[in-house]
Amino acid sequence: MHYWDSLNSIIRCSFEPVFVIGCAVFAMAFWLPGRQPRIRMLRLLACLAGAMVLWRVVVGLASSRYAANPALLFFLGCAVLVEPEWWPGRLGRWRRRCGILLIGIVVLAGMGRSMKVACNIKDFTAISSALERLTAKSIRPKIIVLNREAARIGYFFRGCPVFDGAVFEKARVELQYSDWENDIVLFVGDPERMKVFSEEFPGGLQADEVFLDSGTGFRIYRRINQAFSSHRALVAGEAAARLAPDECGEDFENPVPTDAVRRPEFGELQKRGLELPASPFPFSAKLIPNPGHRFNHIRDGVIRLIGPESPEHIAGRYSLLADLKTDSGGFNLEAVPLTKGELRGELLFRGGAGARIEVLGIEIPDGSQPRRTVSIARAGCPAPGKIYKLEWSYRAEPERNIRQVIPVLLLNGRIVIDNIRVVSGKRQE
Amino acid sequence: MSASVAFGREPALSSRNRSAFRRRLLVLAALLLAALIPRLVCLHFAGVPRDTVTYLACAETIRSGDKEKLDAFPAHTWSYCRLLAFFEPQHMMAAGRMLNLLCGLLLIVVCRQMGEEISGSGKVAAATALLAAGNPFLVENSTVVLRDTPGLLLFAAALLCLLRGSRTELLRYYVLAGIAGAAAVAIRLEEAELLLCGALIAGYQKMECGRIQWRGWFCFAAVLLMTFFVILLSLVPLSASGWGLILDFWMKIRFHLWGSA
Repeated sequence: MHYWDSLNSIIRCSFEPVFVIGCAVFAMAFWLPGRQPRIRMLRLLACLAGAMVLWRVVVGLASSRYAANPALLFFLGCAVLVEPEWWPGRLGRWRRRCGILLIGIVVLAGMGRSMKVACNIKDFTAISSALERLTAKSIRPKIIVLNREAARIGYFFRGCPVFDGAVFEKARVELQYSDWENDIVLFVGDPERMKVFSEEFPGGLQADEVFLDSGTGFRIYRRINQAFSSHRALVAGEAAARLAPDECGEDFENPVPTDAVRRPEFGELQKRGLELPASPFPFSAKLIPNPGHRFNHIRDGVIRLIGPESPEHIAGRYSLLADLKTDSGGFNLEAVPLTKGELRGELLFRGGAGARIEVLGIEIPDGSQPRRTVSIARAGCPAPGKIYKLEWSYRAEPERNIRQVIPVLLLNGRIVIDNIRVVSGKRQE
Repeated sequence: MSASVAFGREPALSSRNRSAFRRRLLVLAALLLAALIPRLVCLHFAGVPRDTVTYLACAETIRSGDKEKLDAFPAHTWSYCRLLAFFEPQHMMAAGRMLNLLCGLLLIVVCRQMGEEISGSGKVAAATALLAAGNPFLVENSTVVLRDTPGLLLFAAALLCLLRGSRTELLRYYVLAGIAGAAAVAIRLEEAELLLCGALIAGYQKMECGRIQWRGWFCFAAVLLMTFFVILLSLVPLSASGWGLILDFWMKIRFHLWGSA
């Protein structure tokens, strides 16, 4: 990547001097004597290109994109330059060589530009897919782009309000009139711009952490209001997002209580044409806060995950037991021991800080083996916004183990579970 | 003395050089094919320039018919966004890229004709087309959703018509130049440099032929203004503020003339 970046920088920087030198050549050509028609036409080209360059310089728009018109004339002049009339006397033998060299440079520069575009898109794709995965098409965070380069990221989040932080005043007004207290806001931009923006914003505006660093340009910051007090349930998951809003509670501003939500019958989702991932986890989860602890903002969201609808999944031929591996010891999970033959189990994740996640409604079939199955991929305190991976393994059949990783995002009292169908949720009473 | 005699060349499509025409056509086709290679590479990895975001959002707004929201977008981008708005939102990006790719290829043809117009040599014309095919600006811009390539194509077409009109002194070339020039300016205001080019070509005509074909240049100016305002007036109903569109164009012109809006 660094090699291509360097090459692209060279190409980008060298092209402008080529353009300027070319115009200078034409400016000199303007003074050359001669009455041949082609020489006269070349003078005209020199005039045009020179005048346009002057025009661009005068109005301060002499960047490469704005210089497209003069560049066009420059390249037209290059073509005329290889004509024999332009190479008097002994210089004539250099005509063909120079023409080939010139054309070769231009073609190579064009190929270099193509490579530069290819380098750019990697950055874009990585960040875009990361954000796509983060939102899981369910959360609609506010996206504030801190510079115009980052705006291209924000555009592709249809449904997410995107504010142009480069136009500071506009973003400030938008935020002041928005429901800032209850919003998740992602800042996309470079660190310098983030610093300026946070300093300019009334009352201060700090990003909690760098959520994603692309390594090649800009970063995604995340800001979550710590005073978040609305205990609304969230739903997530691709299939749930494709359900009707009145059933899946996709509308976060007006969530549908769990009791009012009808659990889809077996085969109903398939009848609607939905492609369901093969997820074998019919369970619900509950967040239980630990009063008095500083991580109290992780609390009382309830989500229900609807399991797969095949008969064998409903039978729940797996065992489930949880344990949390953590490097820092900040967030330990405990599992409620499940016994053989139990048809309904509970899985309790107990954080070291006191927050617990209860996963309920697990059916343990007879003959299954309890296993130490849950781990968290990212260690640390259960700070909001961090993505944890609950790694489940279960024994669907006695002879084989199946492992599945569920990314779990704790967001300020909200739990977002990706890659699994979450149909509804409700506020804990 | 006519301009064609002064240039010492014959019309390009006479019956005598029909075989040469076929040969040139073959060369042009090969060049277009070669030009596709870097463009397809670019297209495969094409990114999203920052202005594209504005254009797509503006096109979606035009499609939704929200006039109040549309007024928040710069009016001088509306004509290009109007083109994108003919497509569904999910197809706008692909349609814009295809449009620019097509314009980029057509620009090579126009450049080839300009090279021939200027030099009268098939080799120079082929070299011009090759340079246009490999021009980094054109390769990159013809694969992303930007106004530059369509604007540049129309600018080059208008320039070609002016050059040909000044040589042949046929009125229709001036009319065509006016239409293409107006469309170019409406798509991208920077293409107003065509007026500068026109003045220089007129000066060249006066210098070479000893006179200026006032009728042709008057036609060019009249058609350009008329077409431009027709395009502008067709955009006015999109706006909630109506004539605010004109004001936006004037602010943009002021920015280009004096550097600040």
